[in-house]
Amino acid sequence: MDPPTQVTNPASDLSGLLARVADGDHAAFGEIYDRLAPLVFGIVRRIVRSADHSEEVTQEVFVEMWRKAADYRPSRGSVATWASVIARARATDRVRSEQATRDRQQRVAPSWVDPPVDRVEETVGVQLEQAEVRNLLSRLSGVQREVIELAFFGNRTYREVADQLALPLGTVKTRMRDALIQLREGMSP
Amino acid sequence: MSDHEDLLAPYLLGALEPEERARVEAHLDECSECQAELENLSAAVLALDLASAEAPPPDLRGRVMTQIKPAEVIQLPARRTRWRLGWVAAAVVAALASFAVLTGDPFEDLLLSGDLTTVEFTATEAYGAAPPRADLHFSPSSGLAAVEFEGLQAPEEGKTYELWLINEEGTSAAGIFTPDASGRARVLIQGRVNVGWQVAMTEEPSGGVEVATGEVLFIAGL
Repeated sequence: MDPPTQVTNPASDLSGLLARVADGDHAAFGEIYDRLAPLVFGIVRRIVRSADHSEEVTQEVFVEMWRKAADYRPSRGSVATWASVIARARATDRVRSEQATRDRQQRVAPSWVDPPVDRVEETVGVQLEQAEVRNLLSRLSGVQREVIELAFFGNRTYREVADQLALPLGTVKTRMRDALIQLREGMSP
Repeated sequence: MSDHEDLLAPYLLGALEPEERARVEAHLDECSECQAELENLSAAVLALDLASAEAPPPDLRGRVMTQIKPAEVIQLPARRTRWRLGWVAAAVVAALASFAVLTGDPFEDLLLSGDLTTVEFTATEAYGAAPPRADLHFSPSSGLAAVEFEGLQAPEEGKTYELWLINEEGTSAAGIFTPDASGRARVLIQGRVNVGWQVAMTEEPSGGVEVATGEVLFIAGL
């Protein structure tokens, strides 16, 4: 089984399915789930990490897609892009609410809470073992890779990236854009 | 490069705050230039995402499908018959004393039915904290049923509550309503009902829908 290839070329097909979902078609939604679940779960897993929580968040993402199917606009990208935006948003919500809980616990009982780990290093370390990602990122310049790693793998907003690297917001946004264009150019058409 | 176009890469990378994300989406609907740019940039992000695609556990599919189709598959919570010995008993006595007590208000008529049964209309976890007092009234002889709430929170803006009748043939819409300002609602269920059926409530877009899309907020068996 090769889930990624299932989701690479279904753009028009998926939007047809989504239109049926907007009319309440459960079977069409089941098909959308089958096509997009590996993409969504992969995104959520990378951000949330815990397997249990990732399943919960993936479920939230699909339920949101079901509810908002009628709101989907092709102007906001393909159905896969739409799903990935929702997935990143819900996964980030989850991580931030957990972070807030940890922060509260830390204030209350700093002695028994585990020392904070460097999320970026840890996440990137795991992910970079994957040859495909490594291969993609190798096309980027050092400064481009840095912003992608912080935002995409480290789950930082571009403002946080700018803070962390002590760069102007405009520079960070431009580097992100340049990085994506660079990646695109390196991909087969 | 416009300010919005500038935010497309952070948008795709999930690096915007929710308000910024909403702004970008609203702008995209109107700007063909940005749509083209988004398409251009999204391929790279999709490639990165696909590189870490991972099949979820097989049983997740069932859980998702259950949640979007809750009315037909949700387990009925433990049923608890709750007679209101105060005014219900008084109403029963009144009904027995005078069979044709018709008030002109179908809800009142139901309450005066000789065989009125009242069960708890049970809130699910989806309703959230502090569920209101909710009853499901039912008269098997007439097939009339109604729900009654005290302290029901208002539906979200642009939404309404919708009732559903569930039997072996499936789920059918049974009326929409919103509570009054104090959270009170008395709603007669549309259609005749039978013993063994279930009544459920979801939140739906204003005007109601034919097929439930929201999570079940209340449910009870007749």
